[in-house]
Amino acid sequence: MGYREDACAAVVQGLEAIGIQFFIHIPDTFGAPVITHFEQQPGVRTFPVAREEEAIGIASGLAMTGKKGVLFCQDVGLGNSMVALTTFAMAYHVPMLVLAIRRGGFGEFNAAVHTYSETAPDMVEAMRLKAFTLDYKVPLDQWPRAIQQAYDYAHMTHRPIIVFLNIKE
Amino acid sequence: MVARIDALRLIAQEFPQEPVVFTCGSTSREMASADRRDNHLYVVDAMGLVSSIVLGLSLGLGDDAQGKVVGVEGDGGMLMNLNALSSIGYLQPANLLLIVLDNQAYASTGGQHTFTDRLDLADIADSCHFRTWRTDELEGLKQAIAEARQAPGPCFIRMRIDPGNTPVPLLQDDPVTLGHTFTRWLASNRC
Repeated sequence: MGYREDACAAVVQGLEAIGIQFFIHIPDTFGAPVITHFEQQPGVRTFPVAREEEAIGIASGLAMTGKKGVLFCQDVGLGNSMVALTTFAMAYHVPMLVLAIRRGGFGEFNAAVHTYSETAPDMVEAMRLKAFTLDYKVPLDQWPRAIQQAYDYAHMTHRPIIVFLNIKE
Repeated sequence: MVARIDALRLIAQEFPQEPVVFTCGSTSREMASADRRDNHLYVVDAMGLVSSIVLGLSLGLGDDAQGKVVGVEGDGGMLMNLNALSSIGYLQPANLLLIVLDNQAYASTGGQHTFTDRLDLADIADSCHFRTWRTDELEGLKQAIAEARQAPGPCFIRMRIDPGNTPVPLLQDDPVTLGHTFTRWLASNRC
């Protein structure tokens, strides 16, 4: 297996340790193995949404009922979700975990997406959203625990927490 | 036709023990002013998000929901998040009801017209496999709600209302308190 597959396996391990009940996703090439895994888990309600913004609303509603959910999307999806993330999830103190797969950078094949993705962390910081990054600088055996901690941190601090994942080869 | 605040009063009376999420602007203001309740979630911004929040509530409550999980949108807000209709239609939550108060205008920002003077949101909901109702009278709304209660699957009521706003105070509570009141009610009632 390559880095992508190993990283996806680490993400799966982290989410299963949390015990997620809902896996909401926007399909992504790099993260496809994670999606495929949860689509095959009968105990996890897994479904795509049409746009990331609505996923923030759905994840918020789930959180308000006490259910464990995660949003799995590309970092560009954060751009599509800023108002929902800030004026609803942050403003109403709704905890949620957003796993955002990094685009742009080394290993990218799309000629345009970097215009967004290179500044995505700066945008998130400017919007006062809290984000962490898991990439090649963090050993993969630490990713599951980090993802668990990110979920716990979101609930302890009553807000959305973003974890950027760089899982390109 | 019917003033928004009168439609809202009816909705509050019809759903005293079920979660109801209200869209931003004059809808939340008028509802909070007319009949404020703990089972209400007033979304003061994030225009268009109500349908998605209600979908999340509906999925999360699942079989625990003893009645409907209700979202009250305006035509402008619904148009802003038509994605939600496709997602709801795809997932088919059994207990979800959307009520769109359609005045064919963005009434909270000066009355600019929306697309619904040419497009019928209920037609779009139909195509997304909702059960749908169309009315412009309070009795029609009451009847539609009664029928929706018995209908399986997601339901959509398009209620035409007057374009005006009722003068009421602004709703400037800290959103944290708005969310907490609602989630505390959810937890204690597990409707």
